[in-house]
Amino acid sequence: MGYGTQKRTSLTGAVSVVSAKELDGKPVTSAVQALQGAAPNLIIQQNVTEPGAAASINVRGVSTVNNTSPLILVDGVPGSLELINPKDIESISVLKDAASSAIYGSRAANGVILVTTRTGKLNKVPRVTYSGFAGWQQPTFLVSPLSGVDYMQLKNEALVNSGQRAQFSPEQIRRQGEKGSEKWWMDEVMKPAALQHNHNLGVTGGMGKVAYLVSGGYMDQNSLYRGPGYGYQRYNFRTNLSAQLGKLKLAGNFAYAKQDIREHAYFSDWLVSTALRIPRIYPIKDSAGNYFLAPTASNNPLAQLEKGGLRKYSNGSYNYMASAAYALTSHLSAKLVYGADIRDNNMDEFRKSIDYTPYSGSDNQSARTVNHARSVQDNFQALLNYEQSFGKLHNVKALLGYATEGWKNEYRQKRQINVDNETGDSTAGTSTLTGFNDTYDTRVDRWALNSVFGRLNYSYSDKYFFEFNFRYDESSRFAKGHRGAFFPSFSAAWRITDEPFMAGIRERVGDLKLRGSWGQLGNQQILSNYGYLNIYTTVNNMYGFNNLPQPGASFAVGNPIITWESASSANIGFDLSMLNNRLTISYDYFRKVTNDILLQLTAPGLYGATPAYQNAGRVKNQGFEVAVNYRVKTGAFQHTIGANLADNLNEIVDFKGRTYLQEGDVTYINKEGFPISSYYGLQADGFYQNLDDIKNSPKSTFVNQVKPGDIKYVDRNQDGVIDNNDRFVMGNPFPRYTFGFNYAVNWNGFDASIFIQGVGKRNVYLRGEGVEAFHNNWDNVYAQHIDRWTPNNPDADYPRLTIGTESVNNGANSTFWLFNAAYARLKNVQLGYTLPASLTGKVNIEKCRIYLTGQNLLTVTGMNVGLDPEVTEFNNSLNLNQLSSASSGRIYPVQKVWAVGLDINF
Amino acid sequence: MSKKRYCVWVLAACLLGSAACKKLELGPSYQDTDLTFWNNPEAAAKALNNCYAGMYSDEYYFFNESLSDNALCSSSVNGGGARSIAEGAYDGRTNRVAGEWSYHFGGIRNCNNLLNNIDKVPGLDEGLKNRYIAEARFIRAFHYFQLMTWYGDVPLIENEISYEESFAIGRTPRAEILNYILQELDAVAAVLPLKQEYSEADKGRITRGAAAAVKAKVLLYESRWDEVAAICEQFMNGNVYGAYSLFPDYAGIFEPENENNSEVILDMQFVPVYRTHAMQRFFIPYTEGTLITGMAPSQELVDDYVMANGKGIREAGSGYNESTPFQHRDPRLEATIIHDGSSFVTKKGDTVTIRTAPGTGDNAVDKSDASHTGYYFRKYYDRTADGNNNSGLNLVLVRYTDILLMYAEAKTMLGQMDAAVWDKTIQAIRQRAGFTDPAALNFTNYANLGTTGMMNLVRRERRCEFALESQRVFDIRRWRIAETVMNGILHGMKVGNSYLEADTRVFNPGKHYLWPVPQADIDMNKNLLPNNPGW
Repeated sequence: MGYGTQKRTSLTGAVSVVSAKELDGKPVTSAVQALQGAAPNLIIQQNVTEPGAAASINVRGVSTVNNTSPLILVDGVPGSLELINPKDIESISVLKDAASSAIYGSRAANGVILVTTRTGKLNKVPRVTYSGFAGWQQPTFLVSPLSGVDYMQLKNEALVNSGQRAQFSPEQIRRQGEKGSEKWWMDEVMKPAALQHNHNLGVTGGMGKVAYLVSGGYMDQNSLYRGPGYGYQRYNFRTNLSAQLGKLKLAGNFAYAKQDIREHAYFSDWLVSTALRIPRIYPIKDSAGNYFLAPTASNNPLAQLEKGGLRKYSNGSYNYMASAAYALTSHLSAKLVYGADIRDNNMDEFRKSIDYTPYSGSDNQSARTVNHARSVQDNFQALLNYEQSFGKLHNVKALLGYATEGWKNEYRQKRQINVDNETGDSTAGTSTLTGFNDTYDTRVDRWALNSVFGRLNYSYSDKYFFEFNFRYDESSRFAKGHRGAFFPSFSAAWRITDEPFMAGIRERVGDLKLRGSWGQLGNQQILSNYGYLNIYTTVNNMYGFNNLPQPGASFAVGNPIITWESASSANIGFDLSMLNNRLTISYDYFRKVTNDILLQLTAPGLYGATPAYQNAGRVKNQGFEVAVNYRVKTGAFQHTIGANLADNLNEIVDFKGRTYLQEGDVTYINKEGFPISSYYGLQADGFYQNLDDIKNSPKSTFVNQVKPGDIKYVDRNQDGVIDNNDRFVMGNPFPRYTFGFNYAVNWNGFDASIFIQGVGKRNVYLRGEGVEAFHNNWDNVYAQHIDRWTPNNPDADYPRLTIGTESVNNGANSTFWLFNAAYARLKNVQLGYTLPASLTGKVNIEKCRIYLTGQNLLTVTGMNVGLDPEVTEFNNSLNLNQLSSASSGRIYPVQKVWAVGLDINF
Repeated sequence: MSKKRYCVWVLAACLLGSAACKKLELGPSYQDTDLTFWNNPEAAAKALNNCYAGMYSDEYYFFNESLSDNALCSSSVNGGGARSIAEGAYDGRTNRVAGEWSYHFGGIRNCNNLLNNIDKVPGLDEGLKNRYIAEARFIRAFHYFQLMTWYGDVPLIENEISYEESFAIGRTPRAEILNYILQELDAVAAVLPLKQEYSEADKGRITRGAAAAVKAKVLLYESRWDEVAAICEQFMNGNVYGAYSLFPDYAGIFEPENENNSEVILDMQFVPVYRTHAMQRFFIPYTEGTLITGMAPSQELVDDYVMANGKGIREAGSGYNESTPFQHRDPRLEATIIHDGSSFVTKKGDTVTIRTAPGTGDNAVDKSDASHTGYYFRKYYDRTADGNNNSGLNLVLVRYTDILLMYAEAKTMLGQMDAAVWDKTIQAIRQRAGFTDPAALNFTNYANLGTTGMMNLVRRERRCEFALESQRVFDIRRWRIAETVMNGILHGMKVGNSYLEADTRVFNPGKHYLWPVPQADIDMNKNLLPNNPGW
């Protein structure tokens, strides 16, 4: 728990704990990936799986449209789950309700994840541990390309359906059939398998009054892309020291992590979209060995990978924590903590000019972008702790603290074009681009928070527990007078089966504890650090006169009266423990209302600017979590079963009566009574079957003509025409009913486990070349389009094939493109053997386990259109300004991993 | 432990804490705020440059052509949905329709922001300040001209409106917007310097001439012929609006070495490397544009260029031969359009022959990313653009030829076209274009055309002279001929025995002469209702 520890039995809030054991043996590259499915309502979505890319994390869903990242603290200091060596983790606590996280008031509204790292123990002999694995990653392709001949026939059909001439003659199709299909470009740009391995070495122990941990880790994940040595490497080093000197306890942790990422110099979504859409009548290289440019592409993804240059990230992270605690009396202690998280990020992108001769391609300008960013987030805390028992029954604990925290980011960038195509250095023809986001000297951004906080715990007879928390914060993100906010919380627990009148139940059923909490938490993490100010941005080359660039200033509107978002959160739950603690069940129900959400409410276009933030919205979020754990022994078999299920559903309660529509390839709506960023569109109702059907159906206003085989829409407002007024809120993009299930069994040194993770309900709106045949006049068409409507196939899955503006009717936003992305994934399987201690003991090995492990082995989903069910265009915040193109299939494929691992303890 | 030691510890902790207490007054190191910005003597110039930058869009400028019968937009996404608009399949959500509205109101807010704050700028010379104000007011009036032309009645916003006001403001009748524009243009013309009064470094700024020329254009769109003629005469017969003349080389008007030439009255200024547009990639030969050819000239445009003898290709005695269609044509055809067999100089400096007939390679009409009509545009091709076709070439909004052709049109419509008017306008323009045949140059050959015949001649002259200069779409709408020329098949080059059918256009005269107010604005502000007729 925050700023201290607490026994599980006395917990009054909603907390899930994940132990190191649950992370072990998973062939993943970060702790985040290992946590997916491990705790209820700790929702992790992998929207990008390229080496080095971060996953998105939510606790209990979304209750604001602003940053919904939980606060992640490593040993009490802000840190990162992506950078930490998973092997250094002792345990992870997820604080979900207001009571457990209120002590972090200011930034706890989205939950808190506390990571505790391993430490040595005093007076223990040094223990050396090695753990590592090596294995292969394989891409999982779900879209199936068509043969060359099938493509030609479907393309002709689409053209003719669209009133155009067929592109391929029967003779051409016949010849293609004789020649056979070319290799699919996705197979040409992706390796069938790539290496991934990971090694960790750690020593723990105690020397005199000092306990220590020293560890090092190395992780190497090769990219599946072909090309020169793409991939991700991470180096971790950590030392944790603590010393007990009489009443004084000193501790110091230092962790260093370095990420080296080497990737191609382009955007993966463009590169993949090109590779995906080229039909198998074109080779990726022509017979003379030149990179081929297909008719719908002006570049070649393999050329971009092999000749297009390189983007390198070299990111260093330094995480420090130092603390001193002094026992003033046997009841009172004081503690000072200083922590800092320093990130030193460097990017060097060198995009080479590619000579496509004899073809005419783009990519013919070399460019180099180099940037550096150094951020320091530091944090000082002073704490007073009091603890005393009165009589045998009354226990009192109190905490009073002060914390100050700041973040400073210094960054600079240089962008040049026409650099030397071999070295990337500037030459005679090189120009430095001077746009606002091109080249700039050091810029500094900051925010800061000052806080006081406290906690009071009282328990009676280990049966009744009460807790009160408060925190007062001041944030630099708001103007003077609007900076401060006070966040209280209350919670209680009752071990009801300890009551005499429940003795019978206790005997027959088990221990039952009831918990309840209510509290308020704050959020100030809006996109802008200075949203309360009107900001003028000067750009050196805003305009020009007579070919001389002129500086200009654009402005962004600010709002001086913005202040904290505050979330009121209520939680009730119980913990039931039966069969001598072998079966435990925890349940929580929560309801959270976030008020004063900082929104850039939409404005009519005639407003003429992007509106400022205002405290305008209210969102309700409710759900439940249930976790069941069961241990049992049958003969020589030891079984462990764990399952968890959680739900969250948000709803915009107050949006000042406004409706925000983001119109586009996908239309989103924010409207009172519906979840944040819901999908909006027409209701599809099968296909027009014939001309009479069209004649007898309401006419569409946005196309001049529909034809049999086109998607038919429901005239929801029954005004006789199909138009924008027939649209409705059709889906919620955030996962619901997330679940995890694990089963492990041990037998005579053998162990086996499976871990399944999934989502019970989620809507995803798919668009673009991943699902639409001949999207945007391109040549993409896949196996799933074979079952298209024709007069002879009226019960088709897909409408008649069309191309260009003929597709306007079928491309309209509608439920036809909305899918339920529920899935269950066999996330991890392990089979291990621990050598008998009698054998290993002879060579001073305490424990030696070898295992086979597999990740992402199997996915079951109803979404059968060739995209991974986990794809989402959103990051963790449902913010419509931060959408990716993942939902059009332009993503690096999810990897399946097989690996062998070894754990040795000396 | 004594109470005293207690206090020492507590105090020590608090001291340490407050010593480390973070400052909360933080601002960005690289941006200004309201308080700091307007104290800067450069603030007015910087804010005004922002207004200039948003005066008009390079994308609209070029893709306007594909909203007319001059060109095809071959992609459903380029030009903000230009293809759908040309096909009549659009509404208030179509990107261009929604975007143009916001674009202009954004530009108007920028002007209003400057006008509201310019008094705060310290040490600003009074004369300079008045000029800045006039420049900003001109740009604002220009935005209203565009808004009125596309949407009819629009909200008239002369101040930085509040968030709340934007949900309540209604539309001002078109007639009032028109009066406002004309008054503003008159007011700023009185303040703005003449072209020659600006220093070398200020070339490209808005001049008195620009204000007068735009006013003439506004009046032209209203068919107020007398007033149009009067303004044009002042340009032609004196120096009150500045010294302008026809640039001697038609093709040269659009080349980078001739920027700011004698004929430019108003343009969007670009600077190589530093402020560029990348529009030419959409319409130059595919091998040089190297991305999808988003826009291509139509056969209808090609056909409208007269023969060197001044006769239309289908006129008796024109000498037109369908098998050698590009011989003996208006020299502006070759200067504007690239066809199968045209010579072309690449950015690298190689002279190549562009082939567009089916099966002739990367530029061929049967290649799906290449031109779908078999034609490309040559006008505005900037050989000095960089590898990604980023060009610093200025885009001309009004040039002196427009004054001459506005004059010719006004005089024709007034029934006053005569040899004198002809010689100063059509003849001068054709001579400059390279016509030499007296049959094309002398008024005597056209004296008996009658008003309608002469009107058609002037209209055709406008079309050919200004192809790819963002004029045609406005002309066909003000002439009310869009329902004729924008309905039916748009053609490409001749392949085999027939002309390619490149697109099918739909124009509903009861509806399409005005765009709808964007759906998003209607959704949020009911005072914008009723929407335009038919929408």
